[in-house]
Amino acid sequence: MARSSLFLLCALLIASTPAPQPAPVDLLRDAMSAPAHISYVGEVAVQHFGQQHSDVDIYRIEHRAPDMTRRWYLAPQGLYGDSIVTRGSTTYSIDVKHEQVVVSNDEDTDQQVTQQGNFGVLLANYDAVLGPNETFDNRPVFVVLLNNKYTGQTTMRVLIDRGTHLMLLRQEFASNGSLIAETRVDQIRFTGAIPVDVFAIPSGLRRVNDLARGTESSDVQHVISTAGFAALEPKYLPPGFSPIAADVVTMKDVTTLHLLYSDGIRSVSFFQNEKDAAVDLSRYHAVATTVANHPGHYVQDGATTLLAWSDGTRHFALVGDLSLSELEKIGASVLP
Amino acid sequence: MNAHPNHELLIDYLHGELAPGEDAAFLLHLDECATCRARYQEEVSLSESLREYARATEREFPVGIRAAVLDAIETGADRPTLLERLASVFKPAIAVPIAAALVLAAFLGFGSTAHRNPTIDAGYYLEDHAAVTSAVPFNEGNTVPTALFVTENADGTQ
Repeated sequence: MARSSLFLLCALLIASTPAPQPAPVDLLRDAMSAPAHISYVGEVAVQHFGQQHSDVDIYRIEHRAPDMTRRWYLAPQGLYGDSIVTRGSTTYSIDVKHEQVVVSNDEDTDQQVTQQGNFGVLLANYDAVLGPNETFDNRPVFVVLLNNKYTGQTTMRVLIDRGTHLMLLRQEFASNGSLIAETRVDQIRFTGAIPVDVFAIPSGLRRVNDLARGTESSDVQHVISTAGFAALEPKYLPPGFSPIAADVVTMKDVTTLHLLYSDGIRSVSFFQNEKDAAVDLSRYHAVATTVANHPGHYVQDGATTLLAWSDGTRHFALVGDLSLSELEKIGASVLP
Repeated sequence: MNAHPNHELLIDYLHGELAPGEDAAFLLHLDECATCRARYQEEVSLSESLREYARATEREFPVGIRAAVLDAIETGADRPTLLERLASVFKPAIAVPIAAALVLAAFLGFGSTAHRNPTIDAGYYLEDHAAVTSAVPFNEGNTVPTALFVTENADGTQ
């Protein structure tokens, strides 16, 4: 009798012990690699909350593991019916209104390696912490918070599906705690039966090659040395930011050097060229500003800000999801 | 939409003339009906052939002319232009052919000899930044490719 009671007690203890929680860093790593082996369809909403206005893109997504994806835009109205098909390293932007397909190829970029490198930077700057478990769209999820090691503030909140470890929600917060961006996957359905035809490119559309893009390299100093001109670098970067990648491209006979800095979540690009080639902002609503007393302009495209200025001899541009004041501070530190 | 749409509807769809509801229903039908997809592709190919022909037989207006005209307006808006001074000397019957000859000369390349620093479109910078940051973890579809931006000039042309 005593023995059976002991068995019963043990069984109850085992049953009542909660399953061990996975390490948040492992969950994040799994979430990065999950699309390589999980096929799914769903609806994605990407929202950016700017200073003056917010915008949202909504698209249907069909993903066939490991690397075929179709995003079919439902909103905004200007993008309705357009789609983006990614097959391996090639991306086809299908613009039905202009009856053209813009083809871009990133075969030189090993995205997975770059992503792993950025993930290392992310872990160096952010603490991953498990939040209380939740449900999202009726699915149980893990909650992972990424807290900035320098400020202690939560910069990102990620909801990861318990069953598949796919990311279902990603929220990014500004330094004052306000929500600045959110990506959510709704109505998700996991399937292994997405026909390859879904990822076919419609015939009869004019094919246009995308603008030439330089080959990205993580050997930043080597790329700078091959630029062919004396490149400048910002002397100030926000805490945790470091050079991640660089590339050189020649357009209109102008060699342009692109340096990318990131802290693993936020990122900023710095462009400069060897000639006096200004940034053409005519297609955007540009606002005048100054960078270290030099005249400049900025444009805001969702959460992304482009700051362009000239020191009288050269033109520079910074692009990133940092605040304008942070970009101006970085720009002011670009000195010969 | 269960029945096959008629030809008129197909043409309207192709030119984006349908109301949003009809447009969505048509798109849904296209997704499911191979026959209509084939008809649609035929129309697209025909439209493209016509456009190709139009492009092949059309000469682009050189950028130099527009720039030269804008420069002239900017630098000499308040005083008579060289053309106006010449026109005051010559009768219109002579001045007009001269003006035409000047425009033709600019069209044939004199305008392109003027030195201008190149400019880099801001869209390139935005897209290049978006392309490299796509490797930032969890950055799913964060940025719409610039290729899909609706780029219209102030006069409504593309």
